[in-house]
Amino acid sequence: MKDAVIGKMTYTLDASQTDSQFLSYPNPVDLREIQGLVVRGYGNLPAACFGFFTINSAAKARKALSKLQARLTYAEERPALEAINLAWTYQGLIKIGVSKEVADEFSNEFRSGMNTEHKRRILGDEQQNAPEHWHWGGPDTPSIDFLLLCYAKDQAALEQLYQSLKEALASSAVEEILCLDTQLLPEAKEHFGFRDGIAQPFIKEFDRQGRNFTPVPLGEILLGYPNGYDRYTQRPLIPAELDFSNQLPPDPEGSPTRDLGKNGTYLVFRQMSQDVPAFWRYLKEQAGSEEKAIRLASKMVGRWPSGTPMVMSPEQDDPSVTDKDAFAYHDTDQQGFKCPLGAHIRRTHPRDSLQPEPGSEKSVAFSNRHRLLRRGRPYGDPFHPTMDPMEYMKLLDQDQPSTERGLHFICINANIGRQFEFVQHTWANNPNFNGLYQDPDPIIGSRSSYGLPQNHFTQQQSPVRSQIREMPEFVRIKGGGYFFLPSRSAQAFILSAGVNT
Amino acid sequence: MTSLVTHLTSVPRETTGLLNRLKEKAKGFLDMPQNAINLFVPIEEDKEPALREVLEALQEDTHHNAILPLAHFSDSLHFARFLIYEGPEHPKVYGSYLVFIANVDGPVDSFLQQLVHKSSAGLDAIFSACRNYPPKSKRTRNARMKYLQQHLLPAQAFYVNTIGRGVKQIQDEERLRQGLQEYLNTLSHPVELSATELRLQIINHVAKSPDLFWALEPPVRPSLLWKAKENLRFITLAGLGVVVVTFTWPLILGWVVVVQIKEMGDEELTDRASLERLNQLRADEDFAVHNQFSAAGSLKPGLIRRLTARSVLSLAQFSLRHVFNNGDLAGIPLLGLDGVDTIHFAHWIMLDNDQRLLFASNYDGSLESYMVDFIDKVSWGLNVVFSNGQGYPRTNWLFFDGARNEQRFKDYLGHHQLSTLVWHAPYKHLSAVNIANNAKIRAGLRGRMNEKQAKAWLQRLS
Repeated sequence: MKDAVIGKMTYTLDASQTDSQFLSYPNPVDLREIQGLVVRGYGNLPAACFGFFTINSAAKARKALSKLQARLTYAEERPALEAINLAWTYQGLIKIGVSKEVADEFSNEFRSGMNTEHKRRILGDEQQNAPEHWHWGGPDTPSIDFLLLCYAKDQAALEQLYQSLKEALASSAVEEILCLDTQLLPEAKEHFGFRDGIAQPFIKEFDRQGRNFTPVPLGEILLGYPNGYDRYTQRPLIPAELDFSNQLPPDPEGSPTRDLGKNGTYLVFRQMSQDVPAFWRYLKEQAGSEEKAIRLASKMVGRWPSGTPMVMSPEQDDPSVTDKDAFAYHDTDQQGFKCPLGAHIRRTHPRDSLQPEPGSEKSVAFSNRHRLLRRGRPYGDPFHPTMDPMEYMKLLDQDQPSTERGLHFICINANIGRQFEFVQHTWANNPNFNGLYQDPDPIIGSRSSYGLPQNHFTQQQSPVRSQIREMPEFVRIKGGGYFFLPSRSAQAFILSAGVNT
Repeated sequence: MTSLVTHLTSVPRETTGLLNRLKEKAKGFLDMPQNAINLFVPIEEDKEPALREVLEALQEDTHHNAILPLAHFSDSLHFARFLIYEGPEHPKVYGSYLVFIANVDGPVDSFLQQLVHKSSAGLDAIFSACRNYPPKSKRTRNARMKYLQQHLLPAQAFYVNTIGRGVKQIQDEERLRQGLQEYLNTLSHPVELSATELRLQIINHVAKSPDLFWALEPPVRPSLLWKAKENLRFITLAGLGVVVVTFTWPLILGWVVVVQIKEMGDEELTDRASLERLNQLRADEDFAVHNQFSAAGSLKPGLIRRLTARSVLSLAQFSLRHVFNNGDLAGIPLLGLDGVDTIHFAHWIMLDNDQRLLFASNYDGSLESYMVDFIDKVSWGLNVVFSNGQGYPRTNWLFFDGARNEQRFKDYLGHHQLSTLVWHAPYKHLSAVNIANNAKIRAGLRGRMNEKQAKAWLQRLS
């Protein structure tokens, strides 16, 4: 028997937008199809939590999830009170009834997950970071079927929302595995004390301010649209006869298949625990004074605590810089005297600094094929409520209870291999990045690879570099997974898949 | 009288010595400094499982295993690999080869001689699984040597990142860099010296260090005579090429049109390899800065394709030897073409009467970054060489599209990549860019530099 809710959700071809004010750019995208998180980070909803669930009975779960489907938040509306998004693991798709034939059309990375020996090597999830030690998403923790991302105006509203969802699901044999809390920090900072989330890929189709930057093609962020090569990224295309209720859009490339991926995308989740006192203690030791420690930390990040990039203000923090994303490396800082060649932001988003032809549009286009749309949120109490590193360093000598805090890193990308994994391995963890020898990303990079310690941080200077060594690890991975964030049609298809077979 | 006899008889001996030395000289003048070893040896079917076990033991530790410890050859061996490749009639007829591919300093025969002399037992353990390996009673050094020589195949094209730079130089110069880094760390920072002053201080330090002062001498380089010969060869062949093109361009154009017409009818692979296969391949990757890549496939049938493949590989070999021989593969700034600086060595080997092509390379980074690098920068090069392979993503006019179809290209590789059973990498923490930088650090210890030059040189120590 088919659920009435599912029945109503047949696919509509890209219709003109009802809310024309929402977008300044005429676009072919049907916002009713795209889950809201792709288009916005719900900054107006400061309370958020992420719940992981496992399904005990597909039939019962299907009913509850179909009801929930009507409450999911799609990109067409900017929710004022609450938002809910839902993403599946590969196991979850199988469990809810998607056939193996269909599920195996998804990307290799999504199907393999984060735990294979090879993924551990390239992501740096070894030794203390190995999935065996994870709180969730590892081989020894319960298998996750789907993820609910919930957002609300305040903590009380969030708790009420999440509780009601959890209860409804529990009564349908869907069990909560764990729920991760979040806590936004003042001035959009992360726990080490730096403003975060400044550089994001510019997607013209989602732009609300009519800005004119070099756009990242929509297909880099969303499946079913041309990507950075002007091609379609690998996505689940299924024979039309498997789309029993005609819920899915046709393959935009013109084949007779249906596109289960279109308007959906992949979501990467990593719980990164941050050891704030260890970070500042090490820096103070290395630098000698508090001011110098802040300078050294800023060199490692590539930005000052206010978020102002080293390239724009190399000598001291200048919070007055308004657009902290408007800079490049090649013309202003080719040698890394301002922002070191191995700094965190110079690795994770190298802009125009890498081959081919640094300084050119070609170089920018190359970087832009490795972009991540970040949607993470911090968790845990700040080390000091002011988020001021000077205050942090005053507290170092006092006995502080070790508090769990960090970042729930979430990013959205259409090609996990070319985007998230590439950034993590080829840029962040790579000790030989940019011609260096033993320098990982000082913030998130793995401290050993190829069986060798990799723990230097080099500051290019005239006449010659200075270097710190034996840099400990400040960030530890506590959990992670690859998820599929389906479109509205795909979600309907997924929930009806098991019914028809 | 006796002394006269000795004197007389010794004359011809001296002459032969001189001749030999001249011969050696001439050989050094003709030989390339780095050479490709490509051994393809048919396996006896019933011995394949045992052979796989032996190879597995080798892979445990290629440097110091009990069978064939490759550390014994650290003076001349760069990368090496063993793999097993199915015969052309697979799976109908068993015809698997044991493949050994290596890149060495000096002539191939000298390396094989060393192998036979130092590791005869190891060779026996491996090659006794192969057809017609000399039986126990007849396993002399000569017999083994002959056997190996008989199974050598030429590489139709062979890429060497930097022709003339040997493995010993690479290792020595890395020791130098590490020594200088240690020294820099003993200085108090920030250093209050001009760049020229600091450079002189560094040179002084090197001169006084018993384990570093060798670096003040330039590395051993191919002789001027050798370089002159290479230049002459380049000019002759390039001139010949111009003449051929001048007189036959309509033919070449017609040829390209024919290939284009054929291309439009060729089938391309459209499916992905199984996840199991791909993950099995990934299991052998990313243990070092660099990775091995081995792949093989059948050429498209017909004389046209075969001749195209042969001519393209000859042209490739010509450009690899004479143009792209110094760190940058396929970069042609004049044409706005970007090169790739992450490849150490690459071999292209035609097999089975030109029915199949095997490709083997050693590159920096992950397979994902390798593929992306080539798709982004040298797709034309991939297309022109590999579009003669069955199932390759459709190209246009030999150079265009093809690999630019990112997903198709990655899927194509997924089907054709071979599992490399043993891989030896002697400098596993050094990228090609690192190695080139180290050579320039050493070069900067010699000669005069003004302040600007010294500043630029010191940045190499970052």
